Amino acid sequence: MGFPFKSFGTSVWLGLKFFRIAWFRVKLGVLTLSMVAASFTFFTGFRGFETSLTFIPVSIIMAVAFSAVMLHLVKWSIHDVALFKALGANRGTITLAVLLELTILGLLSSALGVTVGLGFIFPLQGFKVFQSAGVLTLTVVLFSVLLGASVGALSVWRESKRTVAEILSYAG
Amino acid sequence: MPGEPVVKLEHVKKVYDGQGKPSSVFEDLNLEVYKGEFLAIFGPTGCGKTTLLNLIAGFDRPQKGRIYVKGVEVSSLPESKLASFRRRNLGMVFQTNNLIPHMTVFENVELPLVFSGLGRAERKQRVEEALKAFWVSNYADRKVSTLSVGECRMVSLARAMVTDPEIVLLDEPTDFLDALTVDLLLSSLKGKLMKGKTLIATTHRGRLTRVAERVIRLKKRLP
Repeated sequence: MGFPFKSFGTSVWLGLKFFRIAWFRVKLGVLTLSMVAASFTFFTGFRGFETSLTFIPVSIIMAVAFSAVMLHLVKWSIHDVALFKALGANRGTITLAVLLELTILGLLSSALGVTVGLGFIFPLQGFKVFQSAGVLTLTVVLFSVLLGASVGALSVWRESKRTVAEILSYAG
Repeated sequence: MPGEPVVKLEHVKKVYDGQGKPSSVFEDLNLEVYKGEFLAIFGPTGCGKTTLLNLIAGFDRPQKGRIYVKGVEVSSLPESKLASFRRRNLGMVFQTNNLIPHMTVFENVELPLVFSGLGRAERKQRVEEALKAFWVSNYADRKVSTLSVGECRMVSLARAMVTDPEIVLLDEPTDFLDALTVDLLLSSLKGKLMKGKTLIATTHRGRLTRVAERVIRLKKRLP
């Protein structure tokens, strides 16, 4: 079956190519994920936010939002998944490529979002912002990226179990 | 035809679930295709030509019956093994080409070789050979989205042939092409590169049937 490490080189190649294969999807991903990360950083930037109880539900919302966006993004690539299968790619290779693509996409978008979020909160909080939006915030962002990428990859893993004809008919 | 068939279908039944109203494509299909043969499957739109190719390629599974390709029963092969089987033995030209528009011609043709795990130098050599064989080597660095329909079909052929498969499946290869490109394509199908290959092509036009060695006709089942 080859999952997950047998064709690691092929997965890396494909994962990086995904950024060109589905450029529109990547742009949409960067836009939505960075907006989510920016909003989260903006809220956590208020002094004392990390220590308050509000932090927990907001963190959960952040993680769920990341997962939902990434799940939506991989639905757009389901036609490519069928094509790669038709051309001889195994499920492990495709899943690992998607995991890699989503992780890179998530990290880049988060970096952008956190920077934008800090940019908005800085005029209000000044340097105190770095006391609030600290390690805990970054941990939640990182966790959300990994969770979202895993959820997206798992969806592709399950989807690629079907025959090429089934996937293509589902993808329209 | 002498020898063992490379493709064999035995009592194949295929039914599509048309939103609760099952639509039968094949009830009891039997077919043998021999090594090196050029078979044309002729019939009107909707008669099951693409379905037949999908079944042979293992893209779809029948409800009943067995399908053998090079002695391997693809109709019961698990999905995990089908990918590597296809990679080694089958080349496919889709009706809509299914090329990736944002990638270059070179990258599109290179894809099956990447999945085979070949090194970069060997990939480059084989892609260049395939592009040259189908008269598209000048477009290697161009994005597929900038090519004409005919050029895309040639790229699609190059991608199908780049792994040097024994069996090549072509779904309506002459569709949407002008007369000149059809001539070019048909001559390439009869050319040196295809020597010894088993070709199975679907068509609803007469041109392709004239160059094929054997033609089977599918009739559309009336509801």
